[in-house]
Amino acid sequence: MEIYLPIAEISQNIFFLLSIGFVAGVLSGMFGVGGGFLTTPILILSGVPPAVAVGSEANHIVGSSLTGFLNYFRRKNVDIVMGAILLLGGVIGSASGVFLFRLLSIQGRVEEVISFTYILFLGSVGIYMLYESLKTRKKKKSGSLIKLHEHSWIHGLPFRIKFRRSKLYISIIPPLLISYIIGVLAAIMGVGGGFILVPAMIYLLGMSTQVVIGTSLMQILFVSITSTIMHAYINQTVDVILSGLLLLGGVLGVQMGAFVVQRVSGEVLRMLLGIIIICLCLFLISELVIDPKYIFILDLLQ
Amino acid sequence: MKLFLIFYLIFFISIFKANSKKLIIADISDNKINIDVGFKGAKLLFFGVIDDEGDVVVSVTGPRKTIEVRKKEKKMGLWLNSDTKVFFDVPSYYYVASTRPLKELNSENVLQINQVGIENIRFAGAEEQEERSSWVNGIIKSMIEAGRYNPEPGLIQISDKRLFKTELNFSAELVDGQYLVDTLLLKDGAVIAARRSFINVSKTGYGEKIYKMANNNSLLYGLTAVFFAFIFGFIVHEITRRVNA
Repeated sequence: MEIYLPIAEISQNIFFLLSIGFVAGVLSGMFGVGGGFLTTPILILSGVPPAVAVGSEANHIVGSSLTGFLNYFRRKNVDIVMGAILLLGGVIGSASGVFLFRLLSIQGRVEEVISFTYILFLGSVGIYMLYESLKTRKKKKSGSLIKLHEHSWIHGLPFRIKFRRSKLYISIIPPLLISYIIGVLAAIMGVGGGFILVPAMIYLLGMSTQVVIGTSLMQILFVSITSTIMHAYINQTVDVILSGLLLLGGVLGVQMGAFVVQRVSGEVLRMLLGIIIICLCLFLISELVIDPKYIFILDLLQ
Repeated sequence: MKLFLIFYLIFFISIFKANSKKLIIADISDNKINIDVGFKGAKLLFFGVIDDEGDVVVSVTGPRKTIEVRKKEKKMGLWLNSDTKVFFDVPSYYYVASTRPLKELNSENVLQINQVGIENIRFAGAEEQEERSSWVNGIIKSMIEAGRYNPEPGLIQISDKRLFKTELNFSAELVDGQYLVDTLLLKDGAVIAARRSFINVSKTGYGEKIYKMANNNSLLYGLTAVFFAFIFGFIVHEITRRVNA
C-alpha cells in the first residue's frame, strides 16, 4: 500500500516505513539511541530527499525518545542533573558544530572529513565495547570481583557535584566536555549523537548501563525538539506524514526494547550495541570501496 | 468603408491560410492531476485527430527544476566525491510516446530540435565542463532510476488513419506545477503540425494543507509537529504502562 508524502514529494510503501520505525524503536528502547544513525541512511537510499530524511527523522525521534524517556524515568533510571549538564554542553557544541560545518564546506572537503571521522569513531568505539563486554562476561563467569567503575584523574577535577542516580561524585568538567565534543560531531554528521554519547557515558564517566540509557534519552529528546523546529522553520523539510508513520511503527519496537533491557545484563547490552556499531562501520567502509551503481548523484533543489 | 473591407479581406485570407496548414486536434481525458495522500500515479487518455497521414509523437515534460549533481570518483581505491555541479531547467518529469519507435522515424534532427526523446532533453549549467555529456547522461540515468523519466517510449495507436490515442502514464514521483504535452505530426522527416496542451498537477486534500502550512507558517508547523510527536509519545507510554500493570 502506497502513501504520498507531501513534503518529500514521493510515494512510499506504508509497511516499509512502519518496519523501519519498528527497528528504530527497538534500538531506542534498548540502547537509548535515537536510531537516526540507522534510519536516516535507509530513508535516503529509498528515495527520500536527504534534507527531508534528516528533518523528519528529528521529528520522529521526539516522539520515540519521549516514550523511552518516560519509561526509564518511571523506573528511576534517569539522572536529571547529569542530563541537564550534558544538554548544556550539547547545545553549545552543536552551535559551534554548525559554524565548523560552514567553514569546512567553504574549503570543499567536508563530506570526506565526515565520513573518515565517522568510520574512525565507530570502528574504535565498537571494537572497544565488544572487547570490554566480553572481558566482563568472562570475569563474571569466573566469579572475580568487579569494580563499579575505575577512578581516574578526570573524575578528580574541580567543581565536583554529587550525581545521586548515577552514584557518582565527580567534576562537571568531563561531562560538559564530552557532550560539547559530541554536540560538535552531531551537528556536522547530522545525527543526534546518542550512539557516541552512550559509550562515552559508560566508559569515560563510569555510569551504569541502565542509567546511561535513560539519561541519554533525556538529552536526545531535547536535542531533537530543537532540531525539528529549526529544520521546519529554516528549511521546511519536516514531513509529518513520514515521521508519523515511523512513530507508529516504533510503538511496538520501543516497548520490546525496554522489555528486553529489563531481562538482559549490562554487558550483554553493551556487546550488542558494539556489534551494531561495528556493522554500521563496515557498511560505511563498503560504501567507500565497492563500485557504486551510480556515479552521479542528484539533489532536486527547487 | 472600403478600407475596412480590405482589412477584413486580408484578415479572412490570413485565417484561411492558417487553417490550410495541417492540423492536429487533441485533448486529454483530464487536464489536471490531484495529488492526495493516497496518490499512486495516474493514467490519462490522450486522443485526437490528424488531418494528414504521418507519425504522431507526444512528449510530456514536467516543470523544469534546478538540481545539484555530485560526481563520485575512485581515488586510491576509495570512492570519493570528486566534483559538484549545478544544472538548471532540468525537466522533473519526462514521458514520450509515438506511433513507431523514435529511431524508425528518420527524423533525428527534428527530434533533437524539439527535444523529443530522452537523449534529446537539453538543460543549462556547467557548460564549461569537459565531458559534459557524461554528466548529462548520468543525470538522465539517475532520473530513470528515480521513476521520473520513462526509458520505454509508449505506443500511440492510429485508427482510420486519422484518429490517434494513447495512454499517458504518470508515476507517483510527480512534482506539482504545469506539465507540457507536446504533440508533433511528422511526415518525411519534417514537422507538418504541432500542438501544445497542458496538464496541471497540484496537491489536494491533507497533502496540500500540510504542504501549505509547512511553507507559509513554518514556525507554527514545526511547533505543531513537535506537539503531535509529544502527544503520541506520551499516549504510547501511558497505554503500555496500563497494559503492563
